[in-house]
Amino acid sequence: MSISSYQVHSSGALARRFASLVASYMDDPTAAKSETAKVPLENVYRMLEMFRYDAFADDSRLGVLALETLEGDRPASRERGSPWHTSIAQALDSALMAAYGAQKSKEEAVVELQDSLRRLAVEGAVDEPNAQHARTFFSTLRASLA
Amino acid sequence: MNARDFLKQEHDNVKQLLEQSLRYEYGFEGSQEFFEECGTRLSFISQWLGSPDELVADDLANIGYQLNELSKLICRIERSSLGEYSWPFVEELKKLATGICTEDGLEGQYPPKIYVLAGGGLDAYRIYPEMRRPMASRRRLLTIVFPKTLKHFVLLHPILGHEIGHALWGCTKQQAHLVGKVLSVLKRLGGKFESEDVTAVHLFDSQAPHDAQAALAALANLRVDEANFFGQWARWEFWLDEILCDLVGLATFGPSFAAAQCGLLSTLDPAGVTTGRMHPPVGWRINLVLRAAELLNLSEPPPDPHPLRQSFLAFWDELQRFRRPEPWFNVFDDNQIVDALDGIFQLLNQYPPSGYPKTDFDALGELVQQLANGVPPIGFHMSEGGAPVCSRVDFRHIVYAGWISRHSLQPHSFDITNRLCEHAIMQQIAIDTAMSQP
Repeated sequence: MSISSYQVHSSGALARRFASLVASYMDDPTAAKSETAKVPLENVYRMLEMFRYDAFADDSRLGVLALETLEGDRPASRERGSPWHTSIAQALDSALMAAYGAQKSKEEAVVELQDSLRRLAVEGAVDEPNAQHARTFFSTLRASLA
Repeated sequence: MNARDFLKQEHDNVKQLLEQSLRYEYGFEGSQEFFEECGTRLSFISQWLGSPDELVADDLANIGYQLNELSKLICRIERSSLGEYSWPFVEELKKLATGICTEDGLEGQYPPKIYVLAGGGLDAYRIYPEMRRPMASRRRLLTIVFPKTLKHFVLLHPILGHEIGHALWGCTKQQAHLVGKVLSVLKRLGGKFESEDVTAVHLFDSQAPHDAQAALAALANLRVDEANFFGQWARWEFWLDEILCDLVGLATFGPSFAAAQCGLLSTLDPAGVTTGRMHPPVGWRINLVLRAAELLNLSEPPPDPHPLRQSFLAFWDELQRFRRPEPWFNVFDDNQIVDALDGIFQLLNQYPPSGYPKTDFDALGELVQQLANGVPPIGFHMSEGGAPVCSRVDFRHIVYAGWISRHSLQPHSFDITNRLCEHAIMQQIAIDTAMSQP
């Protein structure tokens, strides 16, 4: 095993950082419109898109002709523990409930949140009542991923 | 030097690597966008490292991982500028992938950022879509890899249709469609992919060919058997994805995909029983693609008489020789195959020219005739009055003509046929461009 083969990447921890940053942008228009902010904003947009369509499958694959052999291969291929997205999907669910309750369907809520992200990136601010929804959503998301 | 200090140093190293090797003056198409994307990723990491907050172990591990990935990506993309691949084929491949792999993002629609490079070994054929999970990136990049030894072998490149399937799978909306309209069909009740257990029972069936049984028996050394095959060793859902991608390959490239897939897989595994943790037995895939091609009427010959008929029939006869006769190799019924293809075409047809276009036998016959004359097969001829007449030809029909011409009375060598077709794709791009001018 090479030194870089350790599985150190934690999607949940990175998602928490992105949620935390986006929550902070709600009161910081300059930071929200910065080039660096595009990274957390795009990532959160993408997570919402996966959540909306319940399409989280995201494994890297071998090429079409990369045939593997039976002999000498290592067993126990199954990903250890839960898939990468389990905790993130649960946190997104909790955050959605906290921000919207039964007011909007999942799809309507996601579309509104994605629109808020766009406004943050372009204008640095979001109008009420969407701003309140977004604040609650992202602060709950951050807390749920802790 | 603590971890944070080391990561700051490595950040500076990666920044230097980017500036020295990938300045956008460097030359390859899209390099400015790539340079900017990498710059944004580095800025984000730099801000994270410079944060006044204490960085916990998770943060430091993540930063290290992101820097590692970025460094690997820069080195991989740098190689793409070498141009050791068939660029005319790549140009056409990009047209297929652009519409269907476009994603929604913060600033609207994002067509894929595609980079191409050459790798060693036949198994180099691959498309790497960057993962969608949280990453220190703004836009995802798509890298297509060709085997360097097959640089000019455009008749084999349709195998990348399978990889388009993986790229589609990496697009959120498309994945949702494929799950609902294709995977659900492949997993239909009563089929051999109804569940992991049902597939395992079929795999270990006593009617399986002897060499397949012998190969599976070797797994006993790893304490893997029918009961724990998918739980402990192979990934059932990955097998399904590979099958789905084969069908996407056929739906995008048509007969040329079937020919490339059957030829290459059978070369690597003549017995057709090689089974992998991520790939189902080779023979299952070959039999599926051949049956699917029949159900799409791709093998329906031109009317008799037709100048193309004999070589057309010979081409499909040769393909049929790759089919394994044992029932163990057939894992889907016709209804499943037809419905799964229907689900795939519902998606492809929304994004022309992704779906394989219907073949016009007369036009195909003209292309085959040009090849027989030793000239690149393109949409061009001289009218009776001596004026040049140009027409559009889909590059997949050029490649198909190449395959059929292998069965004409005096075929060129495989190498020459490929080179003629590669030149034809290049010339046809010029014709299409000229015809698009007002």
